[in-house]
Amino acid sequence: MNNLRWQHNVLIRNSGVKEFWKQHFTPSSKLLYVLGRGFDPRMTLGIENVKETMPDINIECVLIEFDEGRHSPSTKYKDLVNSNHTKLKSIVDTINLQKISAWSKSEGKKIRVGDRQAAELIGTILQGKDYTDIIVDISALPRSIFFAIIGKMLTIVDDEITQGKPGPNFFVLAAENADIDFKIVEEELDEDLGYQHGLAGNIDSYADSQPIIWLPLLGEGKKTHLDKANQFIKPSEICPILPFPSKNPRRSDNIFMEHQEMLFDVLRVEAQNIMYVPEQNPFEVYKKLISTIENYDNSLSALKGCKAVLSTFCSKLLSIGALLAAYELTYPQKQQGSTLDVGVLHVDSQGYNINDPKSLESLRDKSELFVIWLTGIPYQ
Amino acid sequence: MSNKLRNPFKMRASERIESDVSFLRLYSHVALEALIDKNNKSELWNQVMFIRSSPGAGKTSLLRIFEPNSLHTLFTHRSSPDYRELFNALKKLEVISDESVQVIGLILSGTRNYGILDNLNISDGQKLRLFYALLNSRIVLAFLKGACDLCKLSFPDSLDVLKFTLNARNDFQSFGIPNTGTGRDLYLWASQIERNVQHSIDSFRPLREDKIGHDEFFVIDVLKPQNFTLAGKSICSKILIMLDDAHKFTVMQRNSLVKYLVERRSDSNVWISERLEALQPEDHFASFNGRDYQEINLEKFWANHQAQFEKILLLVASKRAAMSTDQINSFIENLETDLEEDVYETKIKTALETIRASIAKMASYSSKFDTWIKYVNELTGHPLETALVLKQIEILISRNLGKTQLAFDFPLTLDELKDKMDGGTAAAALLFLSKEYKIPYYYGFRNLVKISTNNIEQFLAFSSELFEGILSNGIAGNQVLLTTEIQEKIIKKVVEEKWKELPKLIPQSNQVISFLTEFGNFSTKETYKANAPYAPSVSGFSVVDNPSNGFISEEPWLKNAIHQRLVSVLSICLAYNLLDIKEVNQGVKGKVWKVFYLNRWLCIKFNLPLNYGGWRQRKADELLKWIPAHE
Repeated sequence: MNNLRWQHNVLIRNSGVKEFWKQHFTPSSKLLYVLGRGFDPRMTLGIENVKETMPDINIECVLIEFDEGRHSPSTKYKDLVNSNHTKLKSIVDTINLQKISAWSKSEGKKIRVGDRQAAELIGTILQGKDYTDIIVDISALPRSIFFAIIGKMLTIVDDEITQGKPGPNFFVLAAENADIDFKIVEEELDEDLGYQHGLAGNIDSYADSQPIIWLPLLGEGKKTHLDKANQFIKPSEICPILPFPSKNPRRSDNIFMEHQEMLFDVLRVEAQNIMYVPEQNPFEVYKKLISTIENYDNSLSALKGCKAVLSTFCSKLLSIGALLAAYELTYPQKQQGSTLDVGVLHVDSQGYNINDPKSLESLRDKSELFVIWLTGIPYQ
Repeated sequence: MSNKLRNPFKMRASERIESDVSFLRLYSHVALEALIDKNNKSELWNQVMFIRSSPGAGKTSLLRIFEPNSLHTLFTHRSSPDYRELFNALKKLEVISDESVQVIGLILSGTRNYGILDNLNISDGQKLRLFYALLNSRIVLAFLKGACDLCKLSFPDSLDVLKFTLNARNDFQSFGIPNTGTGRDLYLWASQIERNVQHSIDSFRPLREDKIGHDEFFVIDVLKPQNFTLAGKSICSKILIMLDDAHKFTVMQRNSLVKYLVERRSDSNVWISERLEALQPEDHFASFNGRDYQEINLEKFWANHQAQFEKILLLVASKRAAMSTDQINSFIENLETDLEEDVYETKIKTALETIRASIAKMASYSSKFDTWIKYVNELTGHPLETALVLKQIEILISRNLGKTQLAFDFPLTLDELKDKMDGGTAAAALLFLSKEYKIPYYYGFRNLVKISTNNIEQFLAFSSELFEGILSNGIAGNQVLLTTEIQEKIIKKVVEEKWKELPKLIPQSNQVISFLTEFGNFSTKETYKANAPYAPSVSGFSVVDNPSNGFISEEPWLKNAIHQRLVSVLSICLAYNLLDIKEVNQGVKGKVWKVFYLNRWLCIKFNLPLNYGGWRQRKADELLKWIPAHE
């Protein structure tokens, strides 16, 4: 626990972000900025922020477009997507548009492949390039896609560091806005679940039979997600995690009340298993998850330890904590100990429905920017 | 997890019940009827069998009973009256005897990352090789674990004591398996293959180019009971391989596997459980007769064995209620089964007056109803029964008035009236009366069975909320018995919640919901016509081809590209248990119609009765209009 990779970390919030860019970037900086092409009005907030502060920065903008298929409920928001794209064009001169498919369809059967394609794409983009800084803006990227992008980037950067290279400064940027999150409702949840590409954690192995501990990070309206994930994982123990402290101090209670029947009657969770993490600090989530998993693994050593599954039914910002924990335990740096089997399971949807789409634009400016610094100067 | 079960109905499927004792306690031996039926016809063992249904019909529960831990627990408790019937049912299936457990059943779930293999940048041949490698290795591992569970050995530490000797005629050495060895040797072989395949497909680091893979599903020949011994004795007499959720395999994987198994005509016991969605649309609408394998369609089986299905639900309900930690331990006894007529006395009185007035007005235009009116005026007795008879007479007069008048206005006789009053008009009268005067209609255990539409998960979804109502009554210190009004309120609330959940759960939800809404509205319109022409209701349709225009003969609707949208929506409705198909004989002798009926919970959404029966023919083009072209 004391040797955690991000035990000491850098998280820059909202008003501090512009000041940070000013101090950090230099004329020799070569920045790769990766973002998603979507309907979310937060899509361009991050890049606007960078360009406003550093208008002359040498920036390569990679825009990832993910095709969710013609039947996706999101297709009705094409106008919002186009409007965001136009806005982006006005911010940066050159956009490198890369398309990936969310699905592969073979003989009428759909398989989610977006995460795998996103990881492959990142491998290609970074090949032979020497960026000093990389920003992955997750504000308009689906969860499984940005998990794959960040995971792949971390392995590439880690491999460079292992080879003695300095490696770039790698940042994850998220525009947080709970009001917008509430208005965007997932529709048509995936029937076929599967562990996140690169973070499957050997959970499916038949060669061992350790108990599975499931740690779902909870948010609003996730009853069906919980039910589906539980059926898939079949955990031995469930430790739900709620956001607290939070801006709305009642938020965790509200989530708790909304899910109490599912948690206690259907999943039969022990009340003492419920944990809390600060609403706006992914590094705290990361630490809490690792310490919990390691504690379980030690306590269950007579059963040869445990496996753990993390599910993020919460804000994108908090989900980064789960990603970091799973990554660290699956791809440990050399000096650290042996791996633990930790998998990440999302319940993705085939699209989204927006309650009152016109209101999104007015809510956009109330978003808060968070910059999560993962590799580079502070960690050398 | 907590062992407290305040409302045991909330625990839905068997896979969520972690303790074998709890699972067995809740398991109804009647659920094995479909297998006993097959066994009686010698169609159960030594062959490939498909077990198909829509989600929640009980496939996984059916398989779980054959797992070593379940069987061992049952064997240990075989003298207990709680388990006796289940023990006897499994004895009939030759799964267990008074001396020992005879079968090692191993379940392999298709949900575990097989689909990913199809998307690797390798040839189709290599994809299949990886698929078979993963399947072979996992089946061996599942068998070894099952053997340890049955023999109470520690897995994998005690595998040294398990010995195997393979038939020298089969050369498994080319796959890396020696002819003789221990369970540990097999474990090391299988776990190495599984690990290699998993690492090849799931890492942020580049794909390994290892030459791993198997060309065939050869483990069915390795896993023969005679090949394995423990301390010189055989460990079982049958090995049962159960591939659960096989619909999760890709089409290529599933087709290759089925082809392999069918062509091999192996005498191994392989059961493949899958949802109906694994079938191609043509299969959904076609007959399964004449296939090279055995099949059980659970919903079809229970539809033909309604009495047994009701018995299962009775057992499920009473076993679950008995497990509640609250003071209330019964379910069916706490559901009011008859309408509380004293509560609805005023409404029934109003109904009597209104219907009498309506009949008098309708009959005033003709003298032919004079005898009937006399009968109506003299009719006395139990108010609700009288109201129902009057409602039937109102329907029959409405029918008669609607007919083209060819006959003279000779008064219709009382015998004619009584002849025309049948089960259909009685059911329609009850429906109309309930709707018009807001009297509860959906209540009682018999209706709950109908609402379940042969699906246990659906039964639990409704009964868990009804049991919650019973518990709430108990906590509030009220009479525990759930009134008909409250039952209906709860049932309708569950229906609304299920309806609201649909956009989250089903693909092409907009199109499917539009289609169901149009179909439901159409059914309501047809059902509530004053003359109840399709009494008691219309809740089904059969698709007919568009008539030929005389010059160009159109393709059948199922194969016509124009109707692809309809085929797709119907397939989703069947796969997600929103519609079910019944074969109905009607019209020309021997003519069998495939009728698509609303799942019974959807009948409640559209205020329709729960009986099957009325249906209409609709042209494919007409049905297509119920589906928006775009999401």
